[in-house]
Amino acid sequence: MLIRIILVLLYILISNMLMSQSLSINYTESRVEINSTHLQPPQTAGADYAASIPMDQGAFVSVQDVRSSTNWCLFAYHTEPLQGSAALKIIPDIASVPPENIGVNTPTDLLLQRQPQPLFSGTGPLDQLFLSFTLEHAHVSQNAKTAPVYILYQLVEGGCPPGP
Amino acid sequence: MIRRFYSLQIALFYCVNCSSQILWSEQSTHFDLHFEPIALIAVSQQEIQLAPPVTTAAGSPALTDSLSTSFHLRYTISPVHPIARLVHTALLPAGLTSRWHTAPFLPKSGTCTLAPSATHNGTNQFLTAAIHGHSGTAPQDGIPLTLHIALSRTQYQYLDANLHLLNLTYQCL
Repeated sequence: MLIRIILVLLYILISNMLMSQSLSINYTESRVEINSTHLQPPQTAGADYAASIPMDQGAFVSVQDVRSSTNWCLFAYHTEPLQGSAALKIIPDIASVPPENIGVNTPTDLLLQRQPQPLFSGTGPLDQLFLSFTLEHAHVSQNAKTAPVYILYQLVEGGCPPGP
Repeated sequence: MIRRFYSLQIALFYCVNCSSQILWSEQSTHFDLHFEPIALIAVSQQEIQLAPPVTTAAGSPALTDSLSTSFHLRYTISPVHPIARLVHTALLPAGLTSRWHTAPFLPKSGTCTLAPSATHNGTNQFLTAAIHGHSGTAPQDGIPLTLHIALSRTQYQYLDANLHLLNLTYQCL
């Protein structure tokens, strides 16, 4: 009997381990440039950056090895803040994936913070969800040179929690 | 005993399968966000008329006269390093000595400031720092500039109207 119990436990553990869900994030650009065309008004003496700058950056998200009826939530956060008061906003393009792959409580956008926040609520495997990015509240006096942007994405079982 | 094992098994099953906060996978990513240096080269070069004018006909020569003026700059954009400095150059008429300074300057928009009051360094130049936020070709409203020109009595007596013109140039290093 003890052996049978151990075997059942092993089966449970192994069956969960075999379903190793995979998450893939691929950026379209490895480097994004902000220049004087992003001033508001552009190319104008004394002007500051626009409050919200659409970035020439995108990302494709793929989630594989997930059962078709399983709900999941994609979280994102950055491990190091941007310079000054600048922040990064991620906008999931829900039109880029089939409606049946979109779960409940999918946010319209996510202002990256230091803690994980829900970005997309999905159901089943997903291929090529497109993310776009905007730079918020950048200032000429605070943002200069090259700054690496570190973003950590987490794939979590279950749907996203309801937004505020 | 066996019943306890079954209970433990069921609890373990629910723990593994029914939690809604199981982290399946995570991916660390990064890309570079590059801010091109935004600074200016001020190419304005103009002669300015000092106000109030200094005249030799006043009959009461002052050894030191305080003059103030402002002028317009026109900027051209150029990628320069972010800690660019703005060089003020004043070419005084030959034979004159001067000391001068600018007041802190804040444009109507943007974040450009001239350095706090600077004193002429004896080579007709002084520097500003923290040049940010200026680009394009729009004219910037006048920069308040105060000149204190020290004239010797001899110099003052030989001063004529043409000497009231100072040639100022601004350029970004």
